[in-house]
Amino acid sequence: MTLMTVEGISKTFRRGGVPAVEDVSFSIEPQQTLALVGESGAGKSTTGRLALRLIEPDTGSITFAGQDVRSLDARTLRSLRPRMQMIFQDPYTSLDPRITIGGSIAEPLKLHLGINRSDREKRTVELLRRVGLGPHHVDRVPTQLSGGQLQRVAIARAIALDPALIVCDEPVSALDVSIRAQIVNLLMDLQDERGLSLLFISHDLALVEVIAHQVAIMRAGRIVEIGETRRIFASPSHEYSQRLLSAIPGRKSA
Amino acid sequence: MEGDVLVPEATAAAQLTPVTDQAQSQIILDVRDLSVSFGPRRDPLEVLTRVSLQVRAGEAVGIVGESGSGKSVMCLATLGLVGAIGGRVESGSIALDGQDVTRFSQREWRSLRSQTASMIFQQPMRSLNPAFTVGDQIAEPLRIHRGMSRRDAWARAIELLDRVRIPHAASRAHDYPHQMSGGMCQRVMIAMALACEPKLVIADEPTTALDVTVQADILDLLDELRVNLGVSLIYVSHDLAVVRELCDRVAVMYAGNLVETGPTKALFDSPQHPYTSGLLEVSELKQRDGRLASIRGQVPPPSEFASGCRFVDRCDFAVHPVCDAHLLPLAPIGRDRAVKCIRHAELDLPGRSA
Repeated sequence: MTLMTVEGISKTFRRGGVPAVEDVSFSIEPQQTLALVGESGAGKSTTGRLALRLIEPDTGSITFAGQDVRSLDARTLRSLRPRMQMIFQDPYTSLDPRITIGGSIAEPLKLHLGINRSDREKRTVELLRRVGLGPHHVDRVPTQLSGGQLQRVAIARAIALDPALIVCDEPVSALDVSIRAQIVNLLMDLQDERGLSLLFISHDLALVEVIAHQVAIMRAGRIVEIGETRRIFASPSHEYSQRLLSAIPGRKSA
Repeated sequence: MEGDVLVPEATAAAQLTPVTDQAQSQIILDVRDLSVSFGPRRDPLEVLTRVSLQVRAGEAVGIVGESGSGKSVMCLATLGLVGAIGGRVESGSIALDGQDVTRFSQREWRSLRSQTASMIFQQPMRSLNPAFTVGDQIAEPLRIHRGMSRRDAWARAIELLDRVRIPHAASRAHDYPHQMSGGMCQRVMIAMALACEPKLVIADEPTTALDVTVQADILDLLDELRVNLGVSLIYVSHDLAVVRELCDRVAVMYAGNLVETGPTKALFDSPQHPYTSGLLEVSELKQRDGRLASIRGQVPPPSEFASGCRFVDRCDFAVHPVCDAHLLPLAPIGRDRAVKCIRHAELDLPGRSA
């Protein structure tokens, strides 16, 4: 069964302004990755936030795990939150600098699951281990970790509640290429292990080609082309997709 | 450093000379055995160790490596700017266009910078002054260094904006940086860098903050300017695909060391250092068993640099205690290549795939 279906969502932030997202539709299957690609300002991040109802869409419908997300009241929506999580681009600003790594990971366990302290600590260490960190990281604060390590913490926090979907907003674009591979591999491992679906927002087309099952190319708030990654990279049909794909470094001659 | 039996790397640097026309053979930048430290003099933290690099007239040299490898420190040192971020040159020498600038005062540097060598930074929006029009900012070095009148400098600024392909240059010169996109700001930075016709331009990750389509335009522009104006280019990046398109030669840095240098094609086709090979694999998104090839671990901080090979903890080919023994010099292999790996001769490392 399809995990998430988004139909015709639009968002205009300023009355009478240009729509940030216009009539966007897509669906995400279980254990699949849909990549949203496009240039800055294309509406990728806004689309990701609209899909999770972190921003309220003006129009359109969102179905997640059989539920009509837009009709849910705040309380029911909150009970659905553990199933849909998000990872952001800049791990330095997405984690609270005053809270320890352990505290950041344990917080959702306490808020959503009401797990007691000693169990939380145990779970936190398990989660840290799962993302390649260790118990000695529990008492550190974000400034003591590297960008790659912080992104691992953000992933640990996101998977703490056993979600079905993670929206990853440029999760590796602030990282070095060597670290990028480590983080992407971790996400792919977790996808296989837990049947995770990923909405992967990125401007890194070469990376998207490798990891995404489906790809949606956005421009000026609209999806200009969507489909199977292999098909689109082999023969993009929209003029903009062709231009975007030909800009990948090292592909120029192809 | 204890147990350090370093051979001066000048010998290796001399071997880096590519075979080129006589006209091309003039050395614009000659860095030899450069070491840079930070922190108190009694207990210094060495972040750059005995780095040697030469750049010839009209040549594009790529410097690649992860964050923390010392790329930016090396570039700043090259332009006498390392003091501004709290570092100091401990040993070695830097010559720009035949002039030894190692002990230059800030006053001496000021007249040399932008006339002989200039720099383009990663964040164009932050590098430009938000309180002045872009035209004023391009005209400033012309008035200071070239003694041009306000009117002449402004006219030249417009020419330069046109040269970097900013449409409607005459009217855009009146714009402030916030009125321009990131790509346009980077073009302005390039125009500024070129204003006084330097012989060397150092571009430190100039496209990292830009979209791919804009990145492709900026790279085209840099390449065109290099070919047409004969400027030498140092291009710092962690993106090997970009370096491959743009550069004649590549220097690979790791943890404050140069670990491999050579002509771009040879270096990418048959890397001799495990780190170079690993970087190639990760940047080409090579796959093994359905996962991306990666380099495990991360670059150590300078306080934890190993006394032997600094890549030893992350290297799949490390042999103990051979690799831990001491820091090797960058040893010449063949005519214009050099590598810092004790096992390079016995390793057959994967290179570029296509």
